[in-house]
Amino acid sequence: MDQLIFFLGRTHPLLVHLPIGILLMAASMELLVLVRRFAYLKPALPITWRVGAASAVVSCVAGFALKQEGGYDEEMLLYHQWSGIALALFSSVASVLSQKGALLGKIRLIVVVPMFILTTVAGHYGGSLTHGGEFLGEPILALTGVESKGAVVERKPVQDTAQAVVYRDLVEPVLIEKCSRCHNSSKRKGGLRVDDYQHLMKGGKNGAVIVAGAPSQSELIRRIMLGDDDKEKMPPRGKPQLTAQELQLIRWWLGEGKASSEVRVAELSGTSDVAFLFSGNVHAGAEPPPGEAFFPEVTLSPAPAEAIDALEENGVIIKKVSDDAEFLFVNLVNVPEFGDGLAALLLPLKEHVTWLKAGKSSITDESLRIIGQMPNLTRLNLEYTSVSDEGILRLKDLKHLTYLNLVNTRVGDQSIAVLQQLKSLRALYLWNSEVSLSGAEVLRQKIPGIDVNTGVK
Amino acid sequence: MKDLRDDIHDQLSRRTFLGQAGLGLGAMALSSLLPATLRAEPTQEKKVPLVRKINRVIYLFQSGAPSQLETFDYKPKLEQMWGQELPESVRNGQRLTGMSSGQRSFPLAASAFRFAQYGRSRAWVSELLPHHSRIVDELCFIRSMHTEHINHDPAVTFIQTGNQIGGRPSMGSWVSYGLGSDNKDLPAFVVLLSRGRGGDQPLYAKLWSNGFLPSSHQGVVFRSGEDPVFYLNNPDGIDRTTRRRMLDALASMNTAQQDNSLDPVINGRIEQYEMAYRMQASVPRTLDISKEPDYVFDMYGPESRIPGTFAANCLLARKLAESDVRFIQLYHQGWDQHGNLPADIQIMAKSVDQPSTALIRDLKQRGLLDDTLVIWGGEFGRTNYSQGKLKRDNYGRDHHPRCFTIYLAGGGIRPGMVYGETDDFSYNIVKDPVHVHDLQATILHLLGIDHEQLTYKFQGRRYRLTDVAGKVVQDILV
Repeated sequence: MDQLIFFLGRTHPLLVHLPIGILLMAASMELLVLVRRFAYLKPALPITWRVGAASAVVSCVAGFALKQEGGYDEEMLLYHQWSGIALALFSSVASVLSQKGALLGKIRLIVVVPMFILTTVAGHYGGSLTHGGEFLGEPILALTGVESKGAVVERKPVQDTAQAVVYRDLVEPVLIEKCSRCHNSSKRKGGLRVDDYQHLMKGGKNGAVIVAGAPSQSELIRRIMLGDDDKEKMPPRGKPQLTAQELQLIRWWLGEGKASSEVRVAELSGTSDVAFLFSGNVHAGAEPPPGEAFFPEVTLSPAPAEAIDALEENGVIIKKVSDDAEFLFVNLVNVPEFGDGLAALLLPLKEHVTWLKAGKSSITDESLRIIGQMPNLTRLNLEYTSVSDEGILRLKDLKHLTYLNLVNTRVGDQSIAVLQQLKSLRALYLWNSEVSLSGAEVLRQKIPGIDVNTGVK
Repeated sequence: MKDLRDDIHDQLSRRTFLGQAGLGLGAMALSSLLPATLRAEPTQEKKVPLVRKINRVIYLFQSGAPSQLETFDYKPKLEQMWGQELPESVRNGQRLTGMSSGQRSFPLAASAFRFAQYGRSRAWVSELLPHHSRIVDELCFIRSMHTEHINHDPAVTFIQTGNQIGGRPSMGSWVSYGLGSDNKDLPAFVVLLSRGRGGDQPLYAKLWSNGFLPSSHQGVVFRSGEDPVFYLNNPDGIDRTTRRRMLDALASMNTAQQDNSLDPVINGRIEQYEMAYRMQASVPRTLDISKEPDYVFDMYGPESRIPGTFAANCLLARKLAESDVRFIQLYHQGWDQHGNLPADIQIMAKSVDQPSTALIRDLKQRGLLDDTLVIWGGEFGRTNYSQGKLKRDNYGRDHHPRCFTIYLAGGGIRPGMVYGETDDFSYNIVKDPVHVHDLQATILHLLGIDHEQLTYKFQGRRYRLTDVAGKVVQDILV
C-alpha cells in the first residue's frame, strides 16, 4: 500500500505542470480580454479556470502523497505546500466566479495578481525542493565569479598521508561535501556553518556542536549517528550520508586529535578505526576499516525466489544479512549431506551470497568451482570438509573474501600461493589443517593486517 | 457456541477492516497534521536494520555476583586503609541490604589476593584467575557496569529481562524473536546450569522465559548427562515413524482448532511439537562428547568430563555454538560470598578460570569467535567493606550495585581493552559508566538489532528489552 502512495506522490512533479501552465494562461487571458482585439477569448475563460483549478487540486493531493515519502527540507516544504494549497483555493474561487462571465473589474485584479505570485512562489519552492536552493542562481553566480556553496570539492589525493593536516586535508573536505549545502555562509540551518574552522567550533543557535576530545559528547557526532527515522538525523534522510569511514575519521579527529586545526596525521596515534588512512588511500569509501562487516558496494536486485525455494526445500537456511541489502547468508548446518550435486542450486544466487557456511557438509573441491564464482562472497566456512589444495585454487577470484575457515581440512602449503593473493582476507583459520607454521607466517607477511590462527598448542 | 465463534470472526475482521480503512484519503491528509507519535503503526514490528557482527551469543552468567575486588578490579588504596571506616563521602547515601544495614561499622577490606597487570591492555587480574591472565588481549573488560538493584532476584531478573519484576521475555527470547534460529533442528535459546558451591542463590525459570512473546522463544534447559531434555525421548514401544504419524494427526486437529478459535497459543504448541520431534534426533547428536579427543578435555580442565559442571557446560556451549544455536546461556551459581569469602571464592574461581578461557580459545581456533559474543559476569558487584567481622585472612562482602566488572570477547568487540574506571575504593564509577540497559543495547546492536526497534505490543503498550533506556556503547566496538 505504501508503494501505491509513493507512486501517486511521484506523479506530482508531472501533474504540477498542468496548473502552472493552465492557471497562468487563465490569468493572462483575464488581462488580455481587456484589449478589444482579444475579446473573443472571453468564452474560453470559465473552462480554462475550471480545468486549471481541478488540476491544481489533484496536484495538491499528489503532493501530499509525495510528502509521505519524506526526505525534503521541512521549512521549504511547508512554504511550498501552503502556497500550493492557496493556489488551488484561489483558482477554485476564480473558477466559480468566472462561471458568471468574465471577472468584473477589481475582482479580476484580486484574483489575477495573487495567481501570478502564488504560481511563482509555489513553483520556485517546488523546484528548489527538487534541485536545491541554488539551482536557479548557480550559473549566474558562477558568471560573476562567486563560488557556489556546497559544490563537490575536488579532493586532491594527499601525497604523504602522514604529513596531512587532519582538519584541513581530511575532515574539512568531508564536511564541505556532505554538510555545507545547508550549513554555509548564506544558508545556515540551525545557525551553524561547517565550511570554516572558526564557525564549526563556534556552533549554532543551540550551542557548540564540537566538544574537543569527546566525540561521544559532541552534538555533531550524535546527530550523524542517529537512526534513520529520527527527525534530527544529520544529514537528513534522502541526502547523501556520511560513510562509515568518514564518520570514524571525524570521531578520531575529535577524540585523538582534540579537534585541533593544526595537528598532522603523523602526530596522532593511529587506531584501528582509521587504519585505512595509513593504507595509502585517503579517498573515503575505498578500503573499509578492518573488522567492519564489509559488503561490496553493489546494489543488487532481489535474489530469485525460485532459487531460494529450491535450496530451502533441501533444508538449507537462507536469510538476508540486513534489511537494507539484498545479500544472502546461506547456512548448510542442517544439511550435512549437502554435496556437490546440490551445489549447482547455488549458481542462480552466486551474485547474492555473501556469507556461506558449508562447514561439516559433504561438499568437495568440485563445489568450489561454483563457490569460486561468487563475486560478493565475504565469509566462507569450509571447516571439517574434504576440500584440498586443488579446490582452493578455484577461490582465486574472490576479491572480497574477509574470513576463511579451513579448520580440519586437508589444505596445505600448496595453497599459500593462492591465498596470499586474496588481499582482502582479514581472518584465516588453519587449525588442524595441513598448512605448516612457516606457511602461516608467509601469509602473515604477504597480507597486511591479517590474523592467521593456527590454533592453540 | 456457534455465536461466540462468529463473534470472534466478526471482531477480527472489524479490526482488520478498520486497519485498512486507515489508508483512506481523509486519513492520509489528517495524519500529516497529527504528531508522529499518534500515527498508527503496525504492531509486532521486528526490523533488523543494521548488519550483524555476530551470529550467536554465549552468556557465561556468574550467579550470586562475583566480587570485582577479588577478580579484576585492583584497589591498592584499600590495602592502605585496611580496617578503616568506609568514608561517608564515598558511600554517599548508597542504600544497604538488610544484611549489612545492621552493622555498626563498615571496615574496608582489602583483597587477600595479589594482583598483577597483563597483556597490551595492562589489565589487572588477580592470582585467582591465572588462565584469564594469559588471554587478556582477547578480552574487553568493562569495569564500570552499574545497576539499581541490590538483591539477587530483582537484579538477575533485571539483567536478563530488562525489568526487576518478572514476567518479561528474557534476552535470549528477544534475540530468538528478532532473529530466529540459524538451525531449525535446535532451539534458538538454550540454557545450561551448573553450581560451584551448593546452597547458593537459586535461579528461576522466569529468567529464561519467553514472557509475553510466543512460547517457541523460551529458553530450553539442557541438562547434562544421558537425558538432556526431560521427556524428549519416545517412551518404550513408540518408534520414530509412529511418533511422526501421531504428530501429523495432532497437528491437523490443532490446526482445525486454530481456525476456529484463532488462539495464537495453539500455533505455538504445534511449533513446539515439531521442534521436539526434530530435537529427538539433533540433541543427542549435538551434545555427544564421547568422541571429543583427549586434548579438548585437557584444555577445558579435569572437570569437563563430569557432566553438570561449569567446565562440561562450556564444552557443550562450544558444541552448541558450532551448531549455530543463537543464544547459549550458562548459569554458574555460587558466587554470593557474604562470609568466608577468601576460602569460598578460591573454589569458585577455580571452577571457572580454565573452562571460560578454554571456551574462548577453542572458539577462536575454530574460527567461531569471529562471529560469537562471549559475555562473562554477574548481576552486581560486592562491597569494599567487610560484612561481618574483618580479619586479615577472612571477611565477607555484601552486595554492591554501583559498580561491577564484566568482560566481553568476540565479534565486533575491541579486544585487549579496559573500559570504564571506578574510584580508588571500587565503590563509585568515575569514568564511562555502563548501565545494564546499555549492555543489553550493545548486545542487540552487535546482533544487528536496533534495541529501540525490536518491540512487541502487549497490554496496550510496546515493550522492548531495554525498556525505555539503553545506549549502545560505541567505544568498545570495533
